[in-house]
Amino acid sequence: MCAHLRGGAENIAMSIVAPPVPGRRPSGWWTANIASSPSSSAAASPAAAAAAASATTSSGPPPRAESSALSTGGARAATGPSSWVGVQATTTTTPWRLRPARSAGFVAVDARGFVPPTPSTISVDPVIAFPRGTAVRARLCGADVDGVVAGFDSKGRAVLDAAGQRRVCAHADLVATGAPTARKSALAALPPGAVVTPPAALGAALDAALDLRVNGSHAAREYVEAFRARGYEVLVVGGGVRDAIRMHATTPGATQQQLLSTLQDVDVVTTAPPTVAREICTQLAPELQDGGVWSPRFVEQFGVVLCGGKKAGQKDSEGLDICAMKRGGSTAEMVVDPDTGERGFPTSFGDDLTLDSRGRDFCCNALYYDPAHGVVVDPTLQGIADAEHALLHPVNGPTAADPGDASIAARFWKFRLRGFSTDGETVAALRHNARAAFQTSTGKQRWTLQNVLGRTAPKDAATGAAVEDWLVELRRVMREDRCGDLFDRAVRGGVREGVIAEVLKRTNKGLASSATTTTTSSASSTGGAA
Amino acid sequence: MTRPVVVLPLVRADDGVWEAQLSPVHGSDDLLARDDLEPARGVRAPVRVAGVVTTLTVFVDDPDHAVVAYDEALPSS
Repeated sequence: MCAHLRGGAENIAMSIVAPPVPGRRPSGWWTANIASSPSSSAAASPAAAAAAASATTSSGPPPRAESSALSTGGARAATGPSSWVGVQATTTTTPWRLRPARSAGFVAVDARGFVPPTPSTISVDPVIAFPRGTAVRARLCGADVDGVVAGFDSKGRAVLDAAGQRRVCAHADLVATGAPTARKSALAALPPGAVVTPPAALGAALDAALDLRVNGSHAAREYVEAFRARGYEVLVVGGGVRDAIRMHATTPGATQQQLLSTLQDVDVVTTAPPTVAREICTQLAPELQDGGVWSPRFVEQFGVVLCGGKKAGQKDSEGLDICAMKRGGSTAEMVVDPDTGERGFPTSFGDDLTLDSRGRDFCCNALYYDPAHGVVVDPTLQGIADAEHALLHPVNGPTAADPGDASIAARFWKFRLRGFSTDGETVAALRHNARAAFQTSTGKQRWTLQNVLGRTAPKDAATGAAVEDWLVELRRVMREDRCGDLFDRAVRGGVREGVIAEVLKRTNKGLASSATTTTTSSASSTGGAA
Repeated sequence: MTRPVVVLPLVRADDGVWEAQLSPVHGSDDLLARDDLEPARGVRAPVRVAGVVTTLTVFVDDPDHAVVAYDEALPSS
């Protein structure tokens, strides 16, 4: 417990008053609820949270703070940086660590017996023929290399673990050297408590979301069935699952239609390579150009195939993001692969949801729904509880965020603006990350910040004034987290204008006129313009 | 049906050359799809992508920002 007090002084003036339900509450709300909910459970770790999941019956009240982590402000606020001015330190406190348990409506399922679907087609894809764990010998660079199949790359080639090295080889050049390896379900190796059946109403809504039109006249369910027919697993992932769980927890008696309203954006992860995903899309919607796939081939390097929706020129469908399950690998720098001679990002994919979840930002965003088994998957063991209580915890722990990744800090405040809260431990770590994200010393840093903020702004910001309003709110919430000074130093002048331009560019609003007026002068100033 | 063009954002580097900023793509939110790019607006200019300078058709938004069609800048290898 004492360890949790580390940095407690920094915690003094924190003001996280956002309630775990939509809408604002008066300051001091946390304090009041902390005092009035003595029976709530605050587990100290995800594992403990999972263990406590079966014991708690709370689905609505906020989690209790650890009493020893509570502190009162005032003294430091008086001597702190100017950005602390206005922080409600005297009336609110932030627990240093907050790990609530999920509600009892989620019942743990033993997924160890789950198996991946059997291909119904005659020809079996090589990714399925050489499942993960298969011992193989590959002919690479004129030499025989022994290794174990660890997954596949963006083109569906085998990725081998050969004495700790990542090697890439076409399946045609592989020979199995050991006994046949059974295929594993992406859910089979998850920790106990990670796979749960949701409450009935929530489960019905999650399933009904698959009937939404995502590409032309085609529903998401058609894609799920098509992937399974080829032998691949498909799970719904991300914000839709999070928001449905949150509404179920905060709106007792919510109808299926209300829950379904949170699931308008269906993204899926699959055990299929992007090349197969693109092929399935083409076969499933032959009446559409390229099957409605609009993402460039290059994007497959990230495991992503995007089809349908407004960016495909379809006004009446929501679109479907299809992502291969990531197995890690750096995506920051392009490298020349020694085996293929290709320049690209060395990302690997496979069928391990634990690894895929580690590539996501917050626990509440690392939630999956498996329509084949009707279960919700929470690999971090904290995602469901965080979604119910609108809390943010980085998937890889508060201190693991990559300082070079500016997006997690921006996304943190994006969700804070949506009413999400967190604990002092997480804010302290994010503040460290944010210092790097809000650097604007070089043109590249300025562009990166503008780009990141542009991505996190509301998608419906249609005017410069709307973006300005959003920036005011962003500054407010950053000040609450004692990062207002970062905002004030970085988001001003040209950067501020750049953020506005970036947002409007993304929403395709107000561009035509500004672009027309700047093109001539800009083109003439471009040395290489022909 | 006319599709928007998926583009790669460019920023003016310190040496004046347009530079593509590559970042991990997580989903459709990370990709820009533009439906306002008229072919006549495109200008040929040197662009640095992953350290290699190539002359591409650039659509300039303002003195520091431009875009280039993804498929032209980053053809599938």
